[in-house]
Amino acid sequence: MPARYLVVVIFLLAGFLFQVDDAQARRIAAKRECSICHIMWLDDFQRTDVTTLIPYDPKPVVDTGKQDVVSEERNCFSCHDGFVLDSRFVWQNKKYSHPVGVKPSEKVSLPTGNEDQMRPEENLFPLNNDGKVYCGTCHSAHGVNWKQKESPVFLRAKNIESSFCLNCHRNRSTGPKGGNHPIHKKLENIPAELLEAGSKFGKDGAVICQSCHRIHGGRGEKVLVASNENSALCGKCHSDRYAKDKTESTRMGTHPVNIVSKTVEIPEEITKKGGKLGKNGEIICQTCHRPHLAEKDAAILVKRNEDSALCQTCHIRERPVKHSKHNIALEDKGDKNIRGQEVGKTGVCSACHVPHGGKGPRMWARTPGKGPEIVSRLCLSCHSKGKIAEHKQVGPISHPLGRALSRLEQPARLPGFTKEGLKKTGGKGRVSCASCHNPHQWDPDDPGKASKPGDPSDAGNRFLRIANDGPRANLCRACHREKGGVRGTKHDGANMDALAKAGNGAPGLCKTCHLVHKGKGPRLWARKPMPGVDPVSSICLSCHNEKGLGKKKTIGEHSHPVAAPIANLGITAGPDGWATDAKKNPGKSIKNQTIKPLPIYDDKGRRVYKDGRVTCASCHDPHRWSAAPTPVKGAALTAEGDGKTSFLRIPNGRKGELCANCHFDKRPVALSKHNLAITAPAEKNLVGQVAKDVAVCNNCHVPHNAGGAKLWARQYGAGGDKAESMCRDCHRKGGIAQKKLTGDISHPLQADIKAVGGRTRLPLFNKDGARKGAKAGGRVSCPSCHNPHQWDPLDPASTAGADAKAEGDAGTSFLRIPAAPAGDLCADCHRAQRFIKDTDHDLRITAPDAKNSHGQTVQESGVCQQCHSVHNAEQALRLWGRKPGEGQDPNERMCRGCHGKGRVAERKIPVKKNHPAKVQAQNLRRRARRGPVRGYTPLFDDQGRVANTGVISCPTCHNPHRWSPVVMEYGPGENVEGSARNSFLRNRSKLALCSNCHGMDALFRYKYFHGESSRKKHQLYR
Amino acid sequence: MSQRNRFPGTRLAILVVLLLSACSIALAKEGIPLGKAEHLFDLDKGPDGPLSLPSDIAIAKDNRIYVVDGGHHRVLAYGPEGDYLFTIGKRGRAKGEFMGPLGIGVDNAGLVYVADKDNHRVQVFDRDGAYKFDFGIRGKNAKPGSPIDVAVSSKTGLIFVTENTQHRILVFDTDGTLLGGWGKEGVQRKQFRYPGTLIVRDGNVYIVDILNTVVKIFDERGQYQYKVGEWGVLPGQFYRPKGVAVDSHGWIYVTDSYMDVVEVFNSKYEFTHVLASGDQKHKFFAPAGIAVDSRDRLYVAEMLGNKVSVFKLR
Repeated sequence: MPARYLVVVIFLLAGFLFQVDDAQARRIAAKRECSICHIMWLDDFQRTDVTTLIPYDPKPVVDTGKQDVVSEERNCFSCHDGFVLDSRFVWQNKKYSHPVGVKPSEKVSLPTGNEDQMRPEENLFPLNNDGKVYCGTCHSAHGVNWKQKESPVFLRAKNIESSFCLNCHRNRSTGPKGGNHPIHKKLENIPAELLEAGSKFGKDGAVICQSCHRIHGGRGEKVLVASNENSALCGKCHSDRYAKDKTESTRMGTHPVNIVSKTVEIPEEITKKGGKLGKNGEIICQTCHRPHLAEKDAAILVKRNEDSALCQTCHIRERPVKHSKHNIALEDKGDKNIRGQEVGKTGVCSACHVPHGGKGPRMWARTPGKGPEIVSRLCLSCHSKGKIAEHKQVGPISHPLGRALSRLEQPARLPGFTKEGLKKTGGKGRVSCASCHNPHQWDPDDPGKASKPGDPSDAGNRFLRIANDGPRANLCRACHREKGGVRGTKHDGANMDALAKAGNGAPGLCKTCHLVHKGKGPRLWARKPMPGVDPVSSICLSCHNEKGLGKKKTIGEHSHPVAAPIANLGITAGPDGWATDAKKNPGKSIKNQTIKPLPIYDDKGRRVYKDGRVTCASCHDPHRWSAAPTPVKGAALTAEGDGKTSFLRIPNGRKGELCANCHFDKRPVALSKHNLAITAPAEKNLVGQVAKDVAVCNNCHVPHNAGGAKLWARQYGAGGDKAESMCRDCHRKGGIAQKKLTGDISHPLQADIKAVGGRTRLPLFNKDGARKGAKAGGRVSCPSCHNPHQWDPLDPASTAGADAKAEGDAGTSFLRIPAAPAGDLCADCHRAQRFIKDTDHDLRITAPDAKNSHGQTVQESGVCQQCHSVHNAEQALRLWGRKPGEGQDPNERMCRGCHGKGRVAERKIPVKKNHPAKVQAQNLRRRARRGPVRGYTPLFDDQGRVANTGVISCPTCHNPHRWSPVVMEYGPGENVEGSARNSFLRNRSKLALCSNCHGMDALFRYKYFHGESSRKKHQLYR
Repeated sequence: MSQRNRFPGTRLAILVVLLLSACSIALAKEGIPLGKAEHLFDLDKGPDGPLSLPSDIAIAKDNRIYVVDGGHHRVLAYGPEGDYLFTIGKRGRAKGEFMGPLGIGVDNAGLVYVADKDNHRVQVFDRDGAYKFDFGIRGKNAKPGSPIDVAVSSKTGLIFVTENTQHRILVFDTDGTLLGGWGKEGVQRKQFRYPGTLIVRDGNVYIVDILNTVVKIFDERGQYQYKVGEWGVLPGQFYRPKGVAVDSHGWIYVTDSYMDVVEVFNSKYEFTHVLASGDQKHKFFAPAGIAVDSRDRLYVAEMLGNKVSVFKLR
């Protein structure tokens, strides 16, 4: 082969091996360092003999559009995945990154180069081949000088305090006057939460774009550093203006956010202007504010608030304030709020409200006054002395504020307010000025009605929430509905117009008696209260006195006590109701009976729920003529009340339900003979009420105009004290209870309990019939032993006594304590005699069938009354109640009544005759003041009475009430043989009894008299 | 002579054709050698949803799997078959909490070591996730360091940590006491540009040198032994190597997080193939950390795939 051919072949081969195509262009700058990013510049992509691990594709089409591979996000992530640099947050919250793959909107303006540059028409921040924003729009490794330290590199321009952002977003840096959130303004307290989230601040804490926005890795829409759902991000810095709920907003004095208002509807105008609502329709910061591109000079509000225009855009109901006296500009245009803003310039709302930084609830723009309730204090900031509305003050006695509306019997139809000042409806919250007044509307029925300072007012306007004049007078009743029953009653001013004018000169349903402001006494009383009684009763008595409007209905000298603590009756009053004191209420059937709480009051006349006192208003509801379910309407001025009416809170029926509600222990009287409706139905009381027509209580008592103590409603009979006299009005000859008299010989009355030991649980009474202790002059009277309100002391529910023919015994008979079968009643005073129980002298042991002089067995009469008759006794001495026997003296005859032949104790008759009667002795031992002392051996005069000198009789040696002289105890409970150590002897000591006179011979003498066998055995007596 | 010159053009033509044919054969494009692995399952769910940017895996001797769920600032533990067991930590700076954790390792005793990058420390937990102790990582100029990965020698118990503010390997005693280290920024043998994950296997420390695009192998004293791979986009080369693992045969597996492949080298450090599933190379989605368990199962953390892919190698 010629050499020239060989050269051709070699060239051909070389041309084939090193074939050159358009890849020639790719051979530029295949330096390794460049290829770290510019991967497609690698030479291996140009080779045809090998297959690269990835294909050659210098301008791939990716999510953001067709662009150079170097700015494709996978290239970025290959280093920024944490292993070289850590930008994982970008991919974590990728959806909240600066938008890419979109064409720039009209709101941004990409800067172009200046004339000095090579291509001034080009964007400094290029878009990709599709004209869309892509990573390379902002980022380049060749933009910022890597040596400088003040700005991040890999950006196309420096970013000093968000200057990079403003290259495109220039229209968002104009500050509030230009409708944008301020930047480059120092934030005093940078929230750590924001820094943690990635916020950045400028020098000295200045707010910059990146304070709110995080271009990559943010957590909220609009590339915000954190979620701004419900303006939460705004609240990070503006925490003093970002309340989590309405309550907190009132505490903070700022406009509420995070709430869906039930009263304010955000109009479309607001949303059209860029106002936003929360995800559930909540009011949020952005409802009123636009952080960017708001109207100029609108303080980044969605709408300029000149003359409170923005406020009134939403608060439609409050608009009428502008034409009312509460538009302070009408009074004084120069009046300033706490910010120093003049109402004449900033608008009607600004006089009282500032959207943020208010002093107290309702974003109050004034200095609140002093008062018990927070919202009312706002009103008092003007309606106080020295303030702009000092001519409209409420006076010292005004409608109470701060009271819980829940205390009302029925839910209030007016709003209440929480302690934070939050408005509540449905009977919740507390009373405030704003409960009755709507400060934004002069006439409740006409929002368009204007008023100006100096205009007259009446109950039909006055900023009331509900008109309160004429037939429209419903304001008071909106809360006090239960008081509406006063209409048409004697207490209705309409029924007493002429007289009412003598009062406050302003007749009206409520105003006849009450003045909401500037009252004259408790209960906002419109009249002069009666001095000297409790505050509540004083207002009743202001009419019900001899000269008052209610002079026909006075209470008289003896009236039900007022100002008496309800606890005195054994009632425990509490918020949950009333309960009876179990100790004072032993009756099991009563114990479980309910007691209806009645109003009780403190010493200032305020209604309380415990530790309260009884007043007129406890029994009477002056606003309701009848407590019956169907109120009696139209009760004329002359109508006469009865137990069902008379403004009573509880109808006082036959059983005396009203009285018995408090005097619960007296309830059983209705089931007894003392219920005159049973025993004397035609009987009239002192005020002419017939027993069968009135409450059982009224048979003997009337609450007002009574005849004397105990509200006595009958005449007084004979008696040593008033208590006895009350009983004797019926229990006397010719009286309605003449069948039940005590007889000529009866238990002593007005006796001092000291004579029998001085101790008793039974009540004692003084001359006036008042309960008193023994030391205070209390003496025995009929009700000491008898409870006239209960037939059976052990069973309040017993109806056995509810019969005129019912015969009582020692277990019933209105006794306070049963006297049978044991003598508990008697023993309560006669304590020294109580040891008779279960001895041989307790006839239940020795003679259960024996009868006393009244023909009663011991079961019927009780132990004591087998020998003693409390009433109708046969002899005065010892009220002896048995047939006496034979004997030398009265005492012996009493003993012989049993210890005699044919008598119940005939087995215990001394075999020798009595102790010689001719012996007269003087008792050297004195009786103790409280009764016989041990060893005392009484002597008796010829009348059988204990005397210091006298004869010796059976009771000289024997104490018939005590088996053992030594041990103070009841008897053995069975009939046993006695000895010298017991046998009812008064003493067994050598210094007493027989040995007292007979020395050592006493025992033998005793046996001589008492033991036939021993007498026979002893040599001396054979 | 005349006969020899009878068909001079023909002979030349034949020669040219033969030469061109030979060249064509010699210049035919060389394909990518593939090695199949059987895909078993993915770990893609935590207790409350998908994983977020999982960056590394560690397999304990009992084949319990620990995954760094970096986007959620926590570590998830799974059973050998991928059943979720428990979570270690949450976002925070307190003990037992993480900020941007990246790498993870386990020792023979089952203790779990986590490179808690943005808290500048390594935290140690017991096998059940209870916090044991931690030790701080210092970086350039004694400033808080940036620990990328941690591995523990099964022979010596030494703890090796890659720290990339000073491009250095730090060596700690078992209680976290710093003993020393080697490396600085550069391209020489004992220099690194962003050392990434590392493992310790049979007395050798395998370190991914990310921007130098090789896997460097040292002994535990820091003496350079060998390297695997080189710069480039061809098979056996790396562009963004991130993870390295060694199987029971001493074969080395390296992830490339840009080219989305796992490249395999034999025990002689020779490139053998690219991991494939089916007839194609398996395309991962930003693979980073990689591990092999005692059963020769391969675990690949795919950061942008938000999952860990599990393969059976043999």
